[in-house]
Amino acid sequence: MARSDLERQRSALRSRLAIGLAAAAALSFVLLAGLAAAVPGDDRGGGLIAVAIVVVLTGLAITGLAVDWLFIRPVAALTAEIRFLSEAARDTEIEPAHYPGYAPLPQVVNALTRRLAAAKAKSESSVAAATRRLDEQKGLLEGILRDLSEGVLVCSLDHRILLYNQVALSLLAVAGELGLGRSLFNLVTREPVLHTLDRLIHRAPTEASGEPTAPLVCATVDARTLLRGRMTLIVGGNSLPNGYILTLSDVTRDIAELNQRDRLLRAATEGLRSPLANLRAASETLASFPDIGPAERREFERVIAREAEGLGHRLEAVDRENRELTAGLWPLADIHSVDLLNCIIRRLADTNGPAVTMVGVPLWLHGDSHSLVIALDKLLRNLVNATGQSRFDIEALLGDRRVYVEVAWEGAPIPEAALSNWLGEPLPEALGAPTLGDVLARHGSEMWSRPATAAQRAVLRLPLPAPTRIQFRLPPEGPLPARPQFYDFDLMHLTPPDRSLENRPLRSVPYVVFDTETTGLNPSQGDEIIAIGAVRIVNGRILTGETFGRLVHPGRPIPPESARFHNITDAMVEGAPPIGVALPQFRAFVGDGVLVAHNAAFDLKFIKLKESETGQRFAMMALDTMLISMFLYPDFGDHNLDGIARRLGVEVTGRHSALGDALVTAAVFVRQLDLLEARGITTLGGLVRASNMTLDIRLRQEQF
Amino acid sequence: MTKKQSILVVDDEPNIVLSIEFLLKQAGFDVRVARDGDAALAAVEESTPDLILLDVMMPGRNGYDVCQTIRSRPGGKRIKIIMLTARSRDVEQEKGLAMGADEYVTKPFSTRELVERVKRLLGPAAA
Repeated sequence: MARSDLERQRSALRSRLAIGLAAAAALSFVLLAGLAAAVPGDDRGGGLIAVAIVVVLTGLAITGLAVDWLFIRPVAALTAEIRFLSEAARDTEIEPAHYPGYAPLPQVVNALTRRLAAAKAKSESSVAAATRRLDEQKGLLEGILRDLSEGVLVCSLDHRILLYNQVALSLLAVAGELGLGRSLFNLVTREPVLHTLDRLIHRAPTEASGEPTAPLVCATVDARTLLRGRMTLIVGGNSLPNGYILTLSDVTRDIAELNQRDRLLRAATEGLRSPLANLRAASETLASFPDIGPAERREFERVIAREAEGLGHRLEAVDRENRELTAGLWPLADIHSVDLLNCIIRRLADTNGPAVTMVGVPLWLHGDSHSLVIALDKLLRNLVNATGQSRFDIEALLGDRRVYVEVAWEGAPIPEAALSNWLGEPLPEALGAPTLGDVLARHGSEMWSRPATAAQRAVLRLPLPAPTRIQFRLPPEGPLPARPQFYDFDLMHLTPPDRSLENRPLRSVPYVVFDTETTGLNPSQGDEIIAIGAVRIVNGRILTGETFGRLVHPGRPIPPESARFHNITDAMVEGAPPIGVALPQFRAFVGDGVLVAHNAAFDLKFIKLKESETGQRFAMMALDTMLISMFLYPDFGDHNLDGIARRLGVEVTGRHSALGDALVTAAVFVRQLDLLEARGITTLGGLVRASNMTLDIRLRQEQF
Repeated sequence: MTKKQSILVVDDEPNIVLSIEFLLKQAGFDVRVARDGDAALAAVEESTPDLILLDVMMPGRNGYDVCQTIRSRPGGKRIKIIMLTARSRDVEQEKGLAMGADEYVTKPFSTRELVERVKRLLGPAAA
């Protein structure tokens, strides 16, 4: 390339020179011809002119050749050599004798070349040294990772895997190589990772440990294995986090702790011996000598009281220590109910167990995931035998101090007499926990069965410890302003349903509750959808297991000021499908369901604008929880989602993520169904009329 | 002269029964004792007491079971039931109340306070 550049340059110079010479020749020719014409008939003059022309032309040609020979060639050659030097790896020098007319230039260039070569050599050697050190460190790190009994994954903040060890592969049941740079969420569930990371990054300075590490339990994406582990933030030089390390372990018991427990047991039995002996001696003395003197009797009684008190204290101490030890043996950790329940549902499905549907709003709870899965598996199988049912709902519910796992079925409650028998049944698979009762005791739990609030149904309730994390974290700035209310008459005025739907009971309608996150508030001015979340409601139950959640590439930058509403950044949507892919997926999820959203006109507007682009029609009915709230409580001023949720006693989880908001909206909608029924609105037709009436009233009010 | 109010004490631990029986008799109640769940159900069948002090942890039928069974019988809802337990966890209290107990007392308890609670639960007619 460079070589041909050079050629081009030289020939350009030459051709410019040639054109110049030709022009000069032509000019002199014209001049001389003019001169000849001016002196007609004078032959001598004509001859002179011809000679002059030849002389001038020859002179010009010689000058041209001389210029080319003396200046253009050497400069071009020198340029070529310098360029070659600058590009070549070898240290060659320019021979100054080749350029006699340019004496200092080659020397200067040579000096420069030598310095350049020296600098290059120096930097190459330091790069080589650094690479060697890096390789050594990497080798060392890989060696350490290989020898660890725990699985280790090092990830960037956008959850790409940077480094891992073999144990991680086998824990995650990955066959072959795990591609570096792949998303962690191809392997494990998203929620625990995101929540724990969020918790570490936003950890309040008051939180006990300064260590940037926190326990976590997550599930493999196929919901077959629950893994226990720790997340540690990698903090960069600027003290900002730039990644995290995930250590995952299988449920293995620490022998050292077992030994410690053994010691404790010995200490307890030996420590109790002597106060017992004192007590026995004192009481036997009193019994053998009934007519002992009052002063002596009081003395013995004091001994008995003192020893009894001491025994009590000692027992408390042993109990406390034992509790701490067992806590170590059975490490309890926060688990997301979706992970736990999915794992149980999956196990049962794989082994001809009952069909279990996860319902309700997901919650965090605290427990030993391994033994809980096995215990709940056992409980559900026992329930099949005891009730004759093969379909169950399972839900996590928020109590004052605990989180309840509740299993519901059609039929009668299980009598306590039967339940207490289940407690002693062995759980062969559970490590170190031989019975159901042991697992419950470990979680400080009891179970009981009672009739459900719905007629003809019953529940089995299992209280579990509340999580150590804050169940629902509001954004750091506190509650966010709600979106402006949209009243798009065309979108929200519902066409009365046809006869087949008109009288359909509200509860029997399949609903899809959804929410979107967007780059801004103006869809017609270029704002785009960046996330869609949805959950299905069937027979008045929120099917937590049937959710839709997608990030969408908006095809434009996400304004940073909108990120506080949705916490989605450009980096996060990188690689996400565009709306042309995501919307058809969402349409397929909706199926023949009736759409429900809060302030539905807003979300619907964004979706409707994409109908022609994506070829998807969203012509189904769309109900609005905001309008329903306005119908139910016309006198309340605020009908934003947070306000309504609070009023209806719905716990607000993971707000301002599309799926989180969809789940809250779903919980609100299910409560609203109760309230609507109480007002005599029991059919879809009735709800549509109520909704349209509310809309008309609101629109009229807006006009004044 | 009103008829003495009757109390059934159900516990498998003879030492504590001895004290409770003594104290309640002192307080003017008619006291019967049952040593396990089945004996308790038989005693209730024989004559309905006004109040039952019911231990949770017993061999065989436990206190929850006894409580649930009594509540499911005709007239069983009228009886006041106080559950006694050696464990003081909130879930047990919650389960006890879910099974139909009126109150829940954790061992060890102050004997005076137990008698006070019995009197309060049985109302002003109590001896």
